[in-house]
Amino acid sequence: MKRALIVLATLALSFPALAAQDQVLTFDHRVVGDRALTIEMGPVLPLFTQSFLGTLASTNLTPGGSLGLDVDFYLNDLFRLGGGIRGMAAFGPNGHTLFVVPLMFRTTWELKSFPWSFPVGISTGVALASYNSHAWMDPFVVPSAGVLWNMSPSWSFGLTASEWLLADLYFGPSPATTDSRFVHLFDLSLAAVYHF
Amino acid sequence: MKNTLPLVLMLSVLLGSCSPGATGMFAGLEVETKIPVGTLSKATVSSMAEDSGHFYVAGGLKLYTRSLVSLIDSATWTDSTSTITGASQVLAVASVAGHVFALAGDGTTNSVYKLTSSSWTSSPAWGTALTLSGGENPVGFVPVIGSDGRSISSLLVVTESPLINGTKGGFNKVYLFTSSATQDGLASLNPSGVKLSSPVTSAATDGTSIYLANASYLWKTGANLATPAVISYSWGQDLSTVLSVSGTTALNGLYVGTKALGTAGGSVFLSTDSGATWTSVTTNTKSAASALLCFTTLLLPKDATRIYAGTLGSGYGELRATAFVATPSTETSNTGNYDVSTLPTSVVTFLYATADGTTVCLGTNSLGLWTQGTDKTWKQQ
Repeated sequence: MKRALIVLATLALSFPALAAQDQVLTFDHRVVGDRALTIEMGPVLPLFTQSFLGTLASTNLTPGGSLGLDVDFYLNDLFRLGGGIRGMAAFGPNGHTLFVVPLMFRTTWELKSFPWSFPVGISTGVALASYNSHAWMDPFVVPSAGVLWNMSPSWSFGLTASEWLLADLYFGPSPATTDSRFVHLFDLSLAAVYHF
Repeated sequence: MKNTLPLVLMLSVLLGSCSPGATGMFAGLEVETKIPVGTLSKATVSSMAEDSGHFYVAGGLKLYTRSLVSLIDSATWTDSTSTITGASQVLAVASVAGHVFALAGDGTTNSVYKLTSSSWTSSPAWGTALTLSGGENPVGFVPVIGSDGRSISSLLVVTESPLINGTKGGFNKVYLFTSSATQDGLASLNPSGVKLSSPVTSAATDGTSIYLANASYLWKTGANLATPAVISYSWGQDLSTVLSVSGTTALNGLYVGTKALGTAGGSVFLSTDSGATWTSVTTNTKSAASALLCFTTLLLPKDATRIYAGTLGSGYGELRATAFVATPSTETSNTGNYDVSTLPTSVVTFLYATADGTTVCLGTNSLGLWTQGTDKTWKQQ
């Protein structure tokens, strides 16, 4: 009896391991050291600005466009760290161009259901903003979520939506502190990811 | 550490090169409005007149007119060039209806015309050319700005001397067209001992005397240009503009603005004792973009909180109390459109306040006519 219990316990404990041996490792499986190069491009919709007092106002910008290049390093199958550079342009009421160039550090989690991946991430850094011959550097946070179709071990394609939250901060006297704004921009980008 | 150092250096250089302007980037965008492109958007506008509720603008050898509904509304200007040929200037004496004068000609031979229309039309009628008593060729108008700092109390006609042995004699007489007579009184400026080789560029009156800016000289004359005398002061640069302000404003006094000279920007001097003593309001003045400012004209708008100072190629600045503030300032940017217009790099040919005091007009060289209403937003005509 005692021997039968030991056999049953051994079988029970070894079952998950046996089951794991049955799992099919799909080609979207990543291991530490894998890298991903992401190219993104799409429209940017300026949403609104917000003062320190919470007052909301129109950005007064036209819809614009963005282009981005990111490099990420996988720490395991589901988590990667990386950085990148973006460029975004939109126009003011008199045709002057607003350029925003964020230099970002980002973390991304990938939820997976082969052949689909659902990256959810957050980026932060500083953005160089330029408008009408003036320039300033703004810290920012960009939460993002997307969906990728893993076409092959090397290529994934999909769509990423992100909310750019820029902190356009001033400390007076010119520009005045009251000119500080939080700027909300919505970015919807087509993404192509190359794994290497 | 070795890898992050270049990044830190790069960010430091980027931050150091950042120039935020006078106002927050996105705060400024919130108040920016679209500047409409009007009839005069690319015109050179040298002068402006208002009479019986109608406006006249001259420049680039064209004369534009429009009825006055509101200067900052969307009504268009009518090109009335056909009524007189080669109109280069138009001015009106503020206190008398119908005293609108135009200078027209081919540059070599010019004439002064007076408006004869009793009521405004898009093609105003001008009388026959007025003959100056000395037979000189009129080459320019100079408004004599009244003691309120904005209204045009009378009009100077700057002339060119007749040819002497085939050679031009240079700028000589000035004629004063006052509001007191139909054909207007004439007077001449013939200061003894000093030949006027340069034209009078600006004039103002405090109600008793008339002050004339002429090269490096500031002249003080009687009400009809009588007994002219030079006010002795070392300005450092040639004078370009003069303005007299009296009344209840804290800005009372006699102002002169100068040109830039070499590496020194222009200056504004103030006298509160009719020119006996002077203090410097600003010297070696630079724009917000560090350009040397050469002052061209001064004007006190009706709200009397500041004097506008037009410049040669750097828009305008403001004299507030006894300080000069270059634009764009925090205030001008936040009040809309100055910073995003072409004004910061424009040559300001004149500043004009409408009779109702609601609008300041700014003429430019090839960048049109601009207006600033009570909301302080700059718009282009």
